[in-house]
Amino acid sequence: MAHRWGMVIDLDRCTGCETCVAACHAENNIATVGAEQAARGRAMHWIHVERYWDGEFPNVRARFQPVLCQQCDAAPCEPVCPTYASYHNPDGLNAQVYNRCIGTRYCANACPYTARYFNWSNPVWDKPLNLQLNPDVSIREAGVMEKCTFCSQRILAAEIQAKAENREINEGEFSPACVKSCPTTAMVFGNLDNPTSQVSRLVRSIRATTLLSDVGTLPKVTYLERESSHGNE
Amino acid sequence: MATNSVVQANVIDLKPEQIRHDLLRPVFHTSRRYYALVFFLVAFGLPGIFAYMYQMSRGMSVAGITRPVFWGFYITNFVFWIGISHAGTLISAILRLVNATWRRPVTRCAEAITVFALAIGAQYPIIHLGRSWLFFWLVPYPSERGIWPNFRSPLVWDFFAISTYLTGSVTFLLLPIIPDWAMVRDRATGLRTRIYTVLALGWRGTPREWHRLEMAMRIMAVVILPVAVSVHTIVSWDFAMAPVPMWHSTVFGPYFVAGAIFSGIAALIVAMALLRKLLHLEEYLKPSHFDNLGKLLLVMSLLWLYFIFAERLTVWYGNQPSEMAAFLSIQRGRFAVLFWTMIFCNFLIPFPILAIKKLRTIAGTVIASSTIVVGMWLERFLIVVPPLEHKNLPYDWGSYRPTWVEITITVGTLTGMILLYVLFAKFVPIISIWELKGGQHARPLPDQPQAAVSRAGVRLNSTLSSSINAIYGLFPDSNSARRAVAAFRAESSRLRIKPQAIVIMSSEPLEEEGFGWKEQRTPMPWLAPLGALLGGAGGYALAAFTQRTYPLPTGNMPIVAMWPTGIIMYELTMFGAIFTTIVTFLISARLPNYGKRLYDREVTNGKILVGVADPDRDCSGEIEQRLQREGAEQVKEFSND
Repeated sequence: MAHRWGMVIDLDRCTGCETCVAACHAENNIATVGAEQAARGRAMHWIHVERYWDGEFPNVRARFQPVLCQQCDAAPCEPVCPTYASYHNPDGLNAQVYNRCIGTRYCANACPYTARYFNWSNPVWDKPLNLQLNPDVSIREAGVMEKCTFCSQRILAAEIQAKAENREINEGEFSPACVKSCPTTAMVFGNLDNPTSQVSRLVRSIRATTLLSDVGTLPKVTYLERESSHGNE
Repeated sequence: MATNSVVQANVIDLKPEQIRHDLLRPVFHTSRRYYALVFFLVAFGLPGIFAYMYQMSRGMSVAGITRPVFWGFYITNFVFWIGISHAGTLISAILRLVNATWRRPVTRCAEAITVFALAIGAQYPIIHLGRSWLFFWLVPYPSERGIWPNFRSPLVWDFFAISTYLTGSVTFLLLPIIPDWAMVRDRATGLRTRIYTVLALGWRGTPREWHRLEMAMRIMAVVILPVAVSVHTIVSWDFAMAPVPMWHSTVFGPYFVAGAIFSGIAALIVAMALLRKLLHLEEYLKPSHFDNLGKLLLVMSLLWLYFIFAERLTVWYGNQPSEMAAFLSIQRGRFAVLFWTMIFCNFLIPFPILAIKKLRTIAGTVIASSTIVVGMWLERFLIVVPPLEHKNLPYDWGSYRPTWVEITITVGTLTGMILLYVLFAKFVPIISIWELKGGQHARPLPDQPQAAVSRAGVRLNSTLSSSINAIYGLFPDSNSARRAVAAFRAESSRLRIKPQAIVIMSSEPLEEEGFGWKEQRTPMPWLAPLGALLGGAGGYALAAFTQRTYPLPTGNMPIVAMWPTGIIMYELTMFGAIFTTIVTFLISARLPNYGKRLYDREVTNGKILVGVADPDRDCSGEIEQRLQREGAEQVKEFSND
């Protein structure tokens, strides 16, 4: 029962509320680095919402695009890693094995989406965030890379549950924290190998596009372009 | 006439005693200034070590690197030092291969730069690691982690290339030092004797040893060249393999190699000028050496300009938005000052100095080289940082500014490099003494009647002859020694001398005629390619079998990918050749041998020893007479007790 997990993000539905960012931090024990380090570019957000401005002031419109690890099929981050910390797991995801990582940061350079984050120092959580750490997710020490895992702990939990009940994983049985928390259901998660799943249908949409498709990374995150960007605003 | 004067300018017209005296002086005499210099270097280097420890304890956040500029000063320094390391082996190997005699005083300074620049450069990928203490996970060995390194990673290629190059260049440096260490050993007293006795491996200077040494150096010169080219190519591939705008370029391999040789020669010229001044080597490192290297530097400067023009023109003409962002930031933006400084340092200043003969003096080449060293560091910086600041997606752009930690470590390794070099010049004659003498064979002396030879020396004690293991004479020149050898061979049956019992030792390789017999035949040149083949096959086995055993897919590549496996095979092929050469040299030259053997310290004073091992008791008197008659200054007996 192989899966090819994929995600579709409908940019027409994204309001830029950043709930996904908050949910991701809470789910994945992502450390906060403080204002000073954040100003130096050390903030870690496995998912972050990019803002584009259309038009000239005062007639401007904001467009939003959540960007996370694109879980590429031909991921440039993987072969450059000398220790297999970054590799392709059997589900087709770009796994990051923290214990193997020695911190060359090569993968982060190779990633055209800059979707990888480095632990510049040991993790800390502003109080009271330290009280809500997720026991299913390991803490990363200083010197290792980390990035979006598509909430692999949730994938694993669903797989174990399904195996225990001797069945396949049901469509929509689980989803990553960002998808689950999205108030406008702009994000959809599912099995791309199942032709009837919602992601499979949306991927075939005329609005479907991938980020930096010319780099040839074959991402498993698909964006549905805004209708407005086609001019029918 | 003009060519003749150029040739004359290269010739070192000094007596052998003078050469030995001048070049061994730094090994035996240490001035106060030397201690002051070492103290100064240590004082400037130590903060670098503390900064590194601080970085390890606090995390990489104390350095200036950040997202998206994940690589900064450390990788710049890495590329810079590996580039500098191309000074030695390339220049010295090429000049050895084409038999350029003017190379003789230059090669060792150059090879030492290679070894130490490599040793320093190889620190940087480790300093740069988020978890430095786990760097050995790049080493392929069966571990309890049940995993091997990823042979598709350019960093693993780096590991293989740099290890091979380091092994090769250390060998290339050390092999010709052995006879010079023997020379130090014979002059030293006390602790120094013990140290240099170990280091000299029991070198005596027999024709066999000389022949094997020269053979090993010939093989090494051939092997080290492709390794040197591959090393900086692979360093360039650290960048070219990543789909980063301005990095992902096919020109990077040759561009980096050219830049490496360029900066390497510049560093060599600076080092030579300093050595000349500090160790008073004016008679050895002559203006003509700087002139020759200056011409080479001029060619490399033009080649460098050609490469940077070709690279930039392609990017500019292609006009791809992602690349143009980085391009313009270098050309007109934040990095423009550095870019134009680099052009000044690498071309506009050195070109006229090196092109005009009047300016291509020692001072001129040193000025040109100093600017080039700075310019090449800037070039590496401009390759590493601006493209990372401008990756594909504009919202990911960022900027980099080094912190005191990175600067302190950079200064620390610079002084560390100089310190290693200064210490090396203390333990090793920085100019190869025996090779220098090899450049100018003493004019053959006319045959002299033997009566003129003085017979100072040891009184022969015939009563002890039962325990004599050898009889030998010390000859002042190769002509008389050759006569003695010929006489012993002609009368071997009468004097009951077995052919292999004739022992010859000298402080430099003797001409073949009359001295070498079976020594000239060795399978070394055949064993080296065999070792290379085995190394290549071992490389395939290592890369292919381990990856099949732990089939972890990455980046849509096959488990055993042809191209990366080829790189591992290439490096191990070269490693096989180097390793085989070291081993065959030691075995066939019968080194090391610390046993008590026939030897006389006078050999490294320039005397040629001709002896007979295990002489027949009845004939020993006649052998002694024969040695004296052929011109031996001294005749001695040696016993093994």
